[in-house]
Amino acid sequence: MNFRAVLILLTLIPLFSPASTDSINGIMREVETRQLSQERQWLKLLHFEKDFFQSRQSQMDSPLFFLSQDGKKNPQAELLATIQAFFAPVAGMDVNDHPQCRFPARYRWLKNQLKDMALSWPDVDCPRFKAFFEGIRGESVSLVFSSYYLNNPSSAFGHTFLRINKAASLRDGKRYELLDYGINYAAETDTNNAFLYGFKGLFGLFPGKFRSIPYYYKVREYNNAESRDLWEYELSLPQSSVDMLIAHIWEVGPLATDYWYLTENCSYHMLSVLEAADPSVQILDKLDQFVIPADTVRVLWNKTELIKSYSFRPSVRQVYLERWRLLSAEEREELEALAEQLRTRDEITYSQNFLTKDPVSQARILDTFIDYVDFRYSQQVQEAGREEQLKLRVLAKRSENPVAPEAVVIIPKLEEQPHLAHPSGRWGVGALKQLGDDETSILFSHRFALHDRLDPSWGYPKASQISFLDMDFSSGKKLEIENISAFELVSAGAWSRLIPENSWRFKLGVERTRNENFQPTHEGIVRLGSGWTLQKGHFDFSAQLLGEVHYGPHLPHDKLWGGVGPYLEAHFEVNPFWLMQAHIFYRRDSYVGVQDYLRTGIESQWSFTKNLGIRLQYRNERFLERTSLQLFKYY
Amino acid sequence: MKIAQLVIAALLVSGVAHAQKKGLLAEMSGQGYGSAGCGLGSIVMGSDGNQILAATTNGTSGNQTFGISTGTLNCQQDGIFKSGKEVPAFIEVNKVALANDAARGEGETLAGLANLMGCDSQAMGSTMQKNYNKIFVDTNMQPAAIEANIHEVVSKNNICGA
Repeated sequence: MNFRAVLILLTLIPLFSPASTDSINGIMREVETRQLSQERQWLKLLHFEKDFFQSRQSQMDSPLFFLSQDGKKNPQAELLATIQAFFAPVAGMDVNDHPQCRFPARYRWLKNQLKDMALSWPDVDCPRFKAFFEGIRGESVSLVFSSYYLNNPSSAFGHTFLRINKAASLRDGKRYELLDYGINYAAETDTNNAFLYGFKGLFGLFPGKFRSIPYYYKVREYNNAESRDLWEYELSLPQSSVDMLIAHIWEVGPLATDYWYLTENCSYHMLSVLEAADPSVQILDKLDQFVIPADTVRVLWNKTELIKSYSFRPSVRQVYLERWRLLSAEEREELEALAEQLRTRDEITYSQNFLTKDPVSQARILDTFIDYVDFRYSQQVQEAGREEQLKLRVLAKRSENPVAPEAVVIIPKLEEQPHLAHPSGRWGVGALKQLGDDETSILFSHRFALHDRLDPSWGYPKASQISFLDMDFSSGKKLEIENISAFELVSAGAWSRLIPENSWRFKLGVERTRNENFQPTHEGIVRLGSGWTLQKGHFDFSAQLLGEVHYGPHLPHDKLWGGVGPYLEAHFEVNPFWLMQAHIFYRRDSYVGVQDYLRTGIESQWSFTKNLGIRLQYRNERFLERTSLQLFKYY
Repeated sequence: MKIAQLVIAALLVSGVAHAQKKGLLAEMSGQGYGSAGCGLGSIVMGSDGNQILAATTNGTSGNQTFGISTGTLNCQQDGIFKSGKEVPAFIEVNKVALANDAARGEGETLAGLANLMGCDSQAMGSTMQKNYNKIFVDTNMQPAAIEANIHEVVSKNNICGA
């Protein structure tokens, strides 16, 4: 007799006995008396949340997630239908399709709720769920935050996913994190068109899916390919909750749910499955309407006791920089010589100087060089391009040297830790004085997210600005838009001989300026520029070429015009709470023939805390001079 | 004019979205919940590597920075590796890091592989270092050949239990 037949027989026996109908009826009655359908965990397992209109329904969009027709709106009906379904006969179906096998977390929860009753449960053996559960072998859970990545707009706010930590290896008692499974929730995108991408992302038109992916894959993707740091926050969850989490992920795994870029996104659903797994986890209601990945980490850290410990997995860039720091001046010269050959030759040869060094020093140089290539030429390394071929030969050289690599331990300073960052939303109120205006007007501002280079610098990449929906209004004689940055990005990564990267900036928005008649005017603007940034300690200096396109519907002459010119900026961090910058920008415009434009500006922010700061700005440009003072509150 | 453009764009978008939703539902109901292959991220990648990236970053499919040329991750069912497929998938995804570790004689990736194969990681490190050329250069970094050669050198050197 085959396995399946035995299984069917075993499950049929209790089913057709009178006891089972008694059980169902008993359970139904008990569920009613105890009002289990209103229990927090049941609602969380069904992903019931209040929506924007304050009506409560499940956020799961697939009808396959519900056993009752009413399931999306009625948790009671779904519970009763679920109980019925759990007692359904297995005969005639793939056992893996049995409701107990599809909804193992619900089944566990129900049994646990009624464990004080002597009931006969018709346990079904679910081979595929069992394989999943045992394959994951979860003992604990970490929330992993992957840091900001400006080169990919959808990752600019960072990303979070879960790692289910395996028990220590039975063989040697050690943990091998790379062999854990990660649980990721992501939009399954289907377009390269930036407009469509943004639109569909914002309006929930991409399907979102949970995926189980080996952690090593995420490490290679983030740490190596994109040079993003990973922060791993281990959560204190009991084993029973870890088991529930795995069972619940199984329930939502096969479904597609609408992915909302700003609300029901990757970070949101990592927390929603945690809440489903453990009723004592309460975090969603501590979040804003909009969910920024970094904010979830900060809220977990500040407002819950869930984070047990955290660790840092540096990107290949950080590892390379650390190795470089450990080199002596002479060793750095050798490294540069190798890097130069990599750029210009088709073969790496080792100088006499290198060959006469002791093996320890040689190993240090080669190890630094290996990480350098991986970081600097990550694309070519993945695609087995020229640089990778040369690196493989350097590896052969390294393999002849038995000296162990120097251990690289990077312990980020407190001010670099993302969970200690300022909140990403920002309100501002202040005063604005413009030359020619008699009165000072009141200035209001609100920024949706995330960070600019004058905000307190704790926890954010120091060389970057990521502003999303930053709006300034002034109220003098009437309410006016002063500035809108739909998107403003600045990447001021420092240039060095070994890492000759460009710095760049981009803005899409609306600015209020003055036309040639000194009349205020609003202009839509797209600005893009690129150049170089040099850094010395806490000081950096950028020189860039900017191009702009302006559209001013109320301009007296050309409504659409462009300009281009050099932009110089100096930025200085006195300390993480006191920053300043100044710029000068000359532009040649196509407006009414050709015109010159010059703008200078200086601004500084002093922050009392990570949540409160004061910013002074002065700007002088053609036809306009303005000074403002604003108090910022981060929330 | 501007409004007209927006309307057209919106119509286009909703059209695409609609088509896509229909496609998804069809796929779901056709396969049935949780049956054959569609489970939790049987990270099914299509024939092109693009999809895998889409599946992993919270992100774009343009600007692709990380993809895997062939599909060993297809060896997953319901998000878990089928038995015997863990080692080849590990080698394929990690081959660059593995070559680095082998050349240095140790490292996290190499230790992970040693654990998967039930080998002593220290012994495996020095064996792979000594056989670096055979494993990575002679094989031209082809994953299957790397795997075969690793198996060959570890069994010759008798460093794996069992």
